[in-house]
Amino acid sequence: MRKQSLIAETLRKLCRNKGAMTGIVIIAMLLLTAMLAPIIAPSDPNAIDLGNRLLTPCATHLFGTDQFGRDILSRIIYGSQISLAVGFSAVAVGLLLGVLIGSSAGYYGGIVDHFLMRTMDTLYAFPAVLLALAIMGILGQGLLNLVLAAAIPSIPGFARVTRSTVLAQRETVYVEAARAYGASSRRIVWKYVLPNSIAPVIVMGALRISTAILVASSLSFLGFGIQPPTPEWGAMLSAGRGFIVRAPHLSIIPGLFIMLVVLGFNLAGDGLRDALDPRLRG
Amino acid sequence: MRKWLKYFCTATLLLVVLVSVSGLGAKVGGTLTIALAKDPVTLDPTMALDQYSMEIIDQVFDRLVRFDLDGDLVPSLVVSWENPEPTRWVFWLREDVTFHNGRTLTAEDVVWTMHRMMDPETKAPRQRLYMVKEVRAVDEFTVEFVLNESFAPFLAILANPGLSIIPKEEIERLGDDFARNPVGSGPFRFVSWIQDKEVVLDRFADYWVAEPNLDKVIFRPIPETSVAEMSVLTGDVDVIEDVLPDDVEYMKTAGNLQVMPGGGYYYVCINMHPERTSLYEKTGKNPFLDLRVRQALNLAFDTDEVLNAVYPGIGDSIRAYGTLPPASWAYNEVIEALAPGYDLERAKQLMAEAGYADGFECEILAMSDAARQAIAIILQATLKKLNIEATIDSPEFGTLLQRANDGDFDLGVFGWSGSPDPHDYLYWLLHSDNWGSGGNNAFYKNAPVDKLLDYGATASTLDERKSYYEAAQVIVAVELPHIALYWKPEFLAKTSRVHDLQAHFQGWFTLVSPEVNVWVE
Repeated sequence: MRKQSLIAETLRKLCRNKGAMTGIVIIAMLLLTAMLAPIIAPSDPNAIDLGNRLLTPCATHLFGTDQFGRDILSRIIYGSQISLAVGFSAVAVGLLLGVLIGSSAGYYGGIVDHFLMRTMDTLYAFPAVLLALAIMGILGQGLLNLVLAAAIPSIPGFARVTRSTVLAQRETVYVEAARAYGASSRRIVWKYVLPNSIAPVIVMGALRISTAILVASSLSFLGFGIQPPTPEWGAMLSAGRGFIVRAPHLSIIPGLFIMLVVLGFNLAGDGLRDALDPRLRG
Repeated sequence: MRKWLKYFCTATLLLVVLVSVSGLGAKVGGTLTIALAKDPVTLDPTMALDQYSMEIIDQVFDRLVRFDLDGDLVPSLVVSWENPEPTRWVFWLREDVTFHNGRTLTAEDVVWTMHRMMDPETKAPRQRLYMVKEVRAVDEFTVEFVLNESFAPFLAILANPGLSIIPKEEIERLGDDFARNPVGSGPFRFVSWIQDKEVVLDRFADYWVAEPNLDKVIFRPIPETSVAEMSVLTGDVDVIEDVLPDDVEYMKTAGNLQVMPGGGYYYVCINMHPERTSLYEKTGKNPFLDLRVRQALNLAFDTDEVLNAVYPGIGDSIRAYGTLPPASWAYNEVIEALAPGYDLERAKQLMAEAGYADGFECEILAMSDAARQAIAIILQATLKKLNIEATIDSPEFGTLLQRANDGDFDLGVFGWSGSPDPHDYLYWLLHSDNWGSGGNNAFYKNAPVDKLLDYGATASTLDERKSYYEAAQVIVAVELPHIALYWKPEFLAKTSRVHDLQAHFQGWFTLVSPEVNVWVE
């Protein structure tokens, strides 16, 4: 009962928040684009047409063509699949592992806590892109590795937030009560501790999606991302660099879309944070 | 009469003013800043291998002979030479050459430098003198080389900056530090080297050719080509040696760009190693051993169209048909007629005949520069038309080199460059002795070609060598171990204040030689 009202209230607050709604609309449109890519893309994103290179935006090629004569609009449309897939799955992986580590550390405490959290601190010491670069360097190129590379730097953040809320939950009366009637540790964590600690993690997850997309784009920009000719926005931006003077649309368009998707997730994430913040709860 | 005289005087005066303002005739002094794509690795000639180190070494040191701007071998530290027997070479040195430390360069220095290269203890990265049996000083200014067997391209070997003459006492004094404090006999003296920032050289007034016009030369590493282009357009640097393929037209008008036919051979390497390819691992055989498949690849790849897309404006002029530069004396024009051309239908037919109508999966290994990445992507799209599904892999340079040499790839977008002697291209790229790290990354093996290339290196007359090399080229043109792509043009863009600087076909800068003495306004 309480759960439903929380969701309803959150939704109500989100709807009132103009920024959040803008973000959600952007995300929804990008999701739609990604899902309908094969239908709405005007041409094959990898079809090379050397006779029509570096065309500026025109009627047949709304976003122009790139250095191989490939239709940029189609590449942007297909590229949204990669960006969103990487963003969501990287956060899913990072959140899952982070929550697992954080809740174990918080609930069990002691040596487990020390070991897990010091490991997390070590990971935290590296800047996200640097860590991701190192991971790509070890694992090699590829979509799955890109997801892992974007996910791993986000684990410590999730672990820390989860641990701190779990620490607070552990001392609450109802957890004590559960322990008193003999519930197992796993049951207590799953049934009582996690559901009550998850809100900040979800907010963090929403905000992390944009970071994950940025990390993935940065990796592709640096040439560590997905294999060519897969259309990926970061890689497109990077390839356009060489033509920045005479055909700036090659880098401006993917740059705008990276900005748009990051903006969308940040706005939505901020809105979600405001809506879920108990201090702001009416 | 008086009036006439007055006009005459005024005109003369005007002319004098004009001449001095417009700067006819070289001006002494000033600094020339040259952008290199990378920092040098070492300035010790014996230990150097990369282009960027060589370009600086070329200014600080001299070698016995050199290639002039036309690609001809001319004397440098020597007055003349003789080849009395096929295995004996005698060089008479100039007697007016001094090192930067003031000592006269003698035959002993030449012998010591060569011995240092040959000594396994030195661990030179490339044994340039593998054909030499003995080097000795006949008198103070005469050196004699005895070779193991007749070796026709010997002079070309000596013309490499890697065999620049080094003063013994400086190596003894500095040890390994010599690599960062080189002392030679070249037109410019080493001043300082700040890693990844700049290498500064200054004028060596006692240079034996002429006193250099320039006071100072600064080499500055700028890894990003587009940044280098901006730097020369704004006058931040005076000279850059590379431009992005797509900027050639633009830089021609904006940046005084010179384009020279270059000696860098770019090609798609078809890996014919019977066992090591990833294709072999998957299917148990290498389809590229079948000539029809290699023909199909060549026929399906529209080289002319690709080159015009990758190098707009100059695509036609850089087309390669074989592994030897068209300007070489041994170049055989017949191979141009033998080139497969573009015929996709015929290619499909050949694939079907070879039993690969449904294609296969393979892996393209490509260098990561803009031009070769572009070619890899177009190649991938081309292969798809033959139902060949290809992935592109571009690992960092060390890994790529290792894999290329191990044969761990199916198709490679590679490059090769050497001295202008045909031996340097044909032998390393195609002789079966050089499978892998030697340079034959196609793992090509053809007994007649091996024999012809051996004869070509040892024959004594140019005509004889030419006939062997011409025959070898024809066999290779039929066997198609590569898809020959293009000769990477040498670029040189400069600010208008730089005079007398010309692109050298080997990609280095001749700043002071008997023909030129570069100066700046």
